[in-house]
Amino acid sequence: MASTPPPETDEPQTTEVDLGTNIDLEQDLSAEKPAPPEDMFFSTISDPEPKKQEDMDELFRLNKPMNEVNLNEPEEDDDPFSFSNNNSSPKPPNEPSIQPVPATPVADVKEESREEAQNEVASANLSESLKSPQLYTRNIEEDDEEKDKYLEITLSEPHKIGDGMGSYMVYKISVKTNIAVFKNQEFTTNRRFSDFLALFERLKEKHLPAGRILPPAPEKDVIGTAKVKMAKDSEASPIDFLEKRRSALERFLKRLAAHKAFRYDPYFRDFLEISDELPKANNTSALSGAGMLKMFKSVTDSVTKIAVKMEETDQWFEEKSRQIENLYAQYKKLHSVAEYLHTWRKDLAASTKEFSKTTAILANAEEQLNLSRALSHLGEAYEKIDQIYLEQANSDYFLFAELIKDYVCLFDNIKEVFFQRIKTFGNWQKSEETLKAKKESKAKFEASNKLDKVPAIMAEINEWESKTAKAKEDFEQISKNIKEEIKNFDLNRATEFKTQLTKYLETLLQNQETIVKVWEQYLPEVKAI
Amino acid sequence: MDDVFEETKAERSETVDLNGGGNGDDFLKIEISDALNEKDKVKFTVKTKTNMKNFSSSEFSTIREHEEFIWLHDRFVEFEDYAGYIIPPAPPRPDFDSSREKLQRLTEGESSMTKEEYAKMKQELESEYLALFKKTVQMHEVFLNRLSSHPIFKCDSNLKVFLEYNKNLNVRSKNTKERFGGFVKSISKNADELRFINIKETDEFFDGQKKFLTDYHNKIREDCSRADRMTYVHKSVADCYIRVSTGLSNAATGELDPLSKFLTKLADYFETARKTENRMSSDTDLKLSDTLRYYVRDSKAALDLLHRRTKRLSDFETENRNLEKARKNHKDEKNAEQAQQNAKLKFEQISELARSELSDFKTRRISMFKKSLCEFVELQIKHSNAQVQTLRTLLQEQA
Repeated sequence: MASTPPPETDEPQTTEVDLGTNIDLEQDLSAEKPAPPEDMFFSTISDPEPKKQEDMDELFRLNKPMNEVNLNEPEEDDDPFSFSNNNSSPKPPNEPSIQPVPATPVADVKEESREEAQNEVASANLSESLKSPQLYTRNIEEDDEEKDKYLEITLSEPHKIGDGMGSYMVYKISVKTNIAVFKNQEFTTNRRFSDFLALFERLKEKHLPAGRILPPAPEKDVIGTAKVKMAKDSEASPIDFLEKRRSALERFLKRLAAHKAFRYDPYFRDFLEISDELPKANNTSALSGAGMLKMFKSVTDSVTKIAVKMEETDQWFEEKSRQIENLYAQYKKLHSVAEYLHTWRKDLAASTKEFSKTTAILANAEEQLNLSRALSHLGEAYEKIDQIYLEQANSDYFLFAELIKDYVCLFDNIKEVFFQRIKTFGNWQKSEETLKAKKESKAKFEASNKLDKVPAIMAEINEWESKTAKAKEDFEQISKNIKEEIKNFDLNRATEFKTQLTKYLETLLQNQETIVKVWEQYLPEVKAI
Repeated sequence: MDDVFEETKAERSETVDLNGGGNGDDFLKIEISDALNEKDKVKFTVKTKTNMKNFSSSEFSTIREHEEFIWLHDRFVEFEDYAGYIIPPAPPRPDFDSSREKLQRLTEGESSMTKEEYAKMKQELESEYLALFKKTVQMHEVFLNRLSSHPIFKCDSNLKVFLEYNKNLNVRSKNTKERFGGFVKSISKNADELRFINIKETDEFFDGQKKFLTDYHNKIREDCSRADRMTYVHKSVADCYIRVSTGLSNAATGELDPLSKFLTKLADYFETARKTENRMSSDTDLKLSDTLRYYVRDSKAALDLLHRRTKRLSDFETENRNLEKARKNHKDEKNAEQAQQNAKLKFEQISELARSELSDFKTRRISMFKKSLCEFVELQIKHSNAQVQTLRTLLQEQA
């Protein structure tokens, strides 16, 4: 695992701000880590309307011209596991202490100077462009390294390969980036759904033990997939399902691209870059060997969750864990309500359409000319309104329900991460116990004068001492990472929610304004009867 | 549950005055000043103000139940002299079943929602029930007013009894025999219809009217049912908003500011929005659906008129044939002649009346649609604008 933790942790910086305060957005956060793309990303949604794609990309693009590539970027460690990566200097949430850790990071002067030295590109105008398209006031944790690097990903409409049961859908992934590790600055590739799942599994295996929060995995859907497979070429594939899936997959990739640990991950890079088809990931299907293994593992994990009780010395984790549990439950409920709203709105669109049809029929039957015309225009007005309701139902889904769902999954992933920490703690404790046992054995040997056994046990003791030291280090590292991750997560969540829900409100507004127009246009018709 | 649905009194806020001023001594103003829902029976307090001579006093009131209104309607339908008129359609039976069902479902689901949510939804249901109640009162009142404003109907003796007679009219709802009788009647009516197809309608006007009205009646009925479905779904969307609002406030409590504040604001928005959406839906119901509904019934009444006329036409033709037969056989000629003359007279009378009634029907229809549609569209604009305002202010605050 990681090498030595950065020296900052020894610094006696303690700003005792308890979790209950507002996130103070005015604090100086320069030289903080995660890249701006993170917050930019979270304001994006996948909209069925193609024209909005451009707006989203605008938000994503930190600096449009590609000429501000930083050629002098430091040696990027390909292994995101290296916590001592220069760029990923965790901020000083302190050692497990009784005080709750500040929700806002504290500026570290040392870090700042080091990074600024490395950064060749002037940061002034960049921070301008960063702040310009914002609707929110969140203070971005600007890593001078990262903020001029972008990794834009878009997923296009899938197309079908093959026919019948053996067919599958491929999605075209288009990437634009200025990050040097990538071979090209613009490239595309095709991937199928199981490739995404495989990527997720790999990243999870690698990063979960480090305490990283993974973005929600794309969901399997047997029925939807079967329908798509069986749809003949001439028929339109179930559009809803495909659009929802494409949108979810795109969000998945975007969240990965926005997270520092993942964007440099070689698995991720391969996923994006390799132009050939990836080997079919059989281990993602439920009935495969790997699938079985996973099931076993999850069962043992559940048992462990119940069995292992960790003595929590760090109040921060205790409180945070409680908060996460609560939020998870609340958002889950909210999500089901949001979906409910979406369904009813779709129904409203359908029933409005029906009404507009019968009104038009009635208009035909009406013998008086003016009234007939008024009725037929009423039918037309309602037809327009039903379209508006349909659009609204889409917003309900993509801007509201899906956002909440993503976060429910993310909260679940966080719970996973917390559990990892407990497991790590368990490991450490076990090591300690083994070490203690060995020491006792040694003492026994010495006492009973079995001096020949001593060297062997000494060797074992040494071995276990280093193991224990490492286990402790792992635990401390994961604790630190988690705090970092959660801090960023909290900030991002606030931003993403605000941006996306504001966008949702804007669509509500637009739709209402259109409705007003429809009725205002219609009014003179009625007066003319 | 019971305390709300029973013992409900509705305040009469507006009266439909079709009298247009009350002149001379044929002023007859009827209003339902009060209504009580008691154990599944609705009791209407019918108050009359009049200066007509045939009434024993100038102001009086009685209590009537729905069945008595139906009794009155049936008397008008059966009276031969009124055959040439469109009889105002009877008011629909007060039906609170759907509200009751909804309340049932709500109480069953009480455990799955928060106290707030439950209270809000219950309140929604109560106001819905109240609105339904007001509507049924209005329907009954409109029926009476159409009678009271009609120059001939207002003098009807049955109407007088209905308005004045203080004791129960003892109109029991049709027992099995009568209901069966009614059923048989409607079957024979349908049989009549089939017979009447063979009767040649020489009059273009009536032919056209029949075709038009039948077609119109069917189509407006379809439209009305679709409108009802649409308003029902619209209301459900508004109800969803309640739950969204609660969900958001609950989430807000677990979050820190500024996200917490934002979510709370959003929750408030949904709470406000749902009231507006509700109003939009109920206005659609009141102005649009109700107009459609009324003309479903009125067009049926017009069709009934045409049916009666056709019946007389068929009687006339029968008498004609009888007369021919009598003339051939030189038997009973005088009687047959008399019968034929009567039938002819009746037929001509009804045709004349029907003609004016039908054109009246058309005028009424056009003006009512115009009025209702105008009000409807204006209300929709008002509500939509309110929504736009709320959203605009909310977004400005966020910016």
